[in-house]
Amino acid sequence: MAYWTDITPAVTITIGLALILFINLLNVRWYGEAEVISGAIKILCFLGLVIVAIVITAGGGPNHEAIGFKYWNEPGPWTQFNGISGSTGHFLGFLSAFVNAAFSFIGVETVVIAAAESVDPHRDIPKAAKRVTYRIGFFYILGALLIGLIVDPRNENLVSGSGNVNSSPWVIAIKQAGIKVLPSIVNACILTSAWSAGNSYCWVGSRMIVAMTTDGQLPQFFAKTTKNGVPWVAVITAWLFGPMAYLSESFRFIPLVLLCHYTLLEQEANPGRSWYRRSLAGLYLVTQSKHCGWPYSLGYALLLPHSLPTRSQSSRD
Amino acid sequence: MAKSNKAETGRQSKKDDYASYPSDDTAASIRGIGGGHGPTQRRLQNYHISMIGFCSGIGTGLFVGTGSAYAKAGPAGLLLAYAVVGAVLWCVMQSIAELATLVRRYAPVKSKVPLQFANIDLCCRYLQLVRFPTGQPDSLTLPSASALPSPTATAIPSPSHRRSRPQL
Repeated sequence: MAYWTDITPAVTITIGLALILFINLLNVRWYGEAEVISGAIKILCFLGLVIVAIVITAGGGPNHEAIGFKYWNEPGPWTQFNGISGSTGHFLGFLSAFVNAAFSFIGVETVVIAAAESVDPHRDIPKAAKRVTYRIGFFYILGALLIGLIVDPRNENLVSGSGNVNSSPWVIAIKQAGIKVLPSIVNACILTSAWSAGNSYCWVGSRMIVAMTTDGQLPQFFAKTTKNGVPWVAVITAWLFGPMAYLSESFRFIPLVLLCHYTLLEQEANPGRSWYRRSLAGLYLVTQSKHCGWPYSLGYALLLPHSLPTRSQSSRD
Repeated sequence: MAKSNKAETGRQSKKDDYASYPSDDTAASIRGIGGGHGPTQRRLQNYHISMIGFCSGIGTGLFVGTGSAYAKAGPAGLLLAYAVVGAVLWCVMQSIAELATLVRRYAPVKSKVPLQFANIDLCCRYLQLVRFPTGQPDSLTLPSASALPSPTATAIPSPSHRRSRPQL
């Protein structure tokens, strides 16, 4: 939003949060419809970006400069991480990109949580899991390849830390090529998909809370539902993490989420750890919130590690 | 229940093992609304699940966050990092999806076990899967493999349903 106007991001955040709460309090079908519509927007946007990227590489942009694999030759396929030269630097750069890659992949597993509310999970979930293959190939690997073609890794905007659309590699490439209208359209798509991701995480968080109540890890109060099967207490609880978005001012999100993700991965690997230590990790995340943070990831990271690994413990009594 | 039955009878595909489940109220209710994990209801249709699987959660991480990774790693580093993480996640996804729909293979036709299927208690599923081939009676309170085949078993206690509450 900061891309278009000087209006304070609080307005966007407020509208987005209100919409998220509204949709999650309707029955789960409406969450599904919201995902279908925003998902269609994401796919179309990404298809458009793929086509634009190919056109730019081939020199079809207004500046008529065919780039080809220029950036694979000119700065080279690897970057010197932190000024460390040689293959050590290359390897460290590759390693540090892992963190961002893991962050970009958040949300792939949402569909499994949807199994609990699917009409026909035995047919739909395996199908959806197979589609994840295409998702990874299309969105992530093809995307990474194309970004490597169209943007110079030394471009300052990439690391400007503005956190908004101006540091998106796609928008940078489009601007460089001199196309006028497209950045605005891409911005709109990114805004929609950020909202939709927040919507998903709110939903996932609420369902995790419900799962914790059925395992006796939270008071049964949290599992209260309306007659449409909406666990409204859980939805509101998960949603309450949302206003942390105000801390972020301009949708800056990366450092916190990285921490969340580290903790999440680490904890999934250590199911035997005590509840106490998991809580400490959770508190640690909260203290880091000054770097915040696309906030749902926080809620998500707090809830997911608390719920999944303890299953093995709770089933022992 | 009648409502859900009407809505869902057209959905059985021929390949589907569902034909082997009894078409009583229980089975019908599984396929319609009601019977979700805990008190939730089954209302997500096929196309919802497809789209949730294909693009849910894609947000600024992909469109914007890639930029800083790219600045750190360069073209080849970025591609390689995404390919490696993607490969790991692909395996994870296949495994979780398998677990989330596990009971199908091992549930006897006449029990009411399907009431509990496809929830998100993945750890229990995993233990079930590990224990099933040995057929040992369970030291845990999981629905053990040896307890399942009884046709008179009405509601098999599982850790996720320890609290007594109406099933459905």
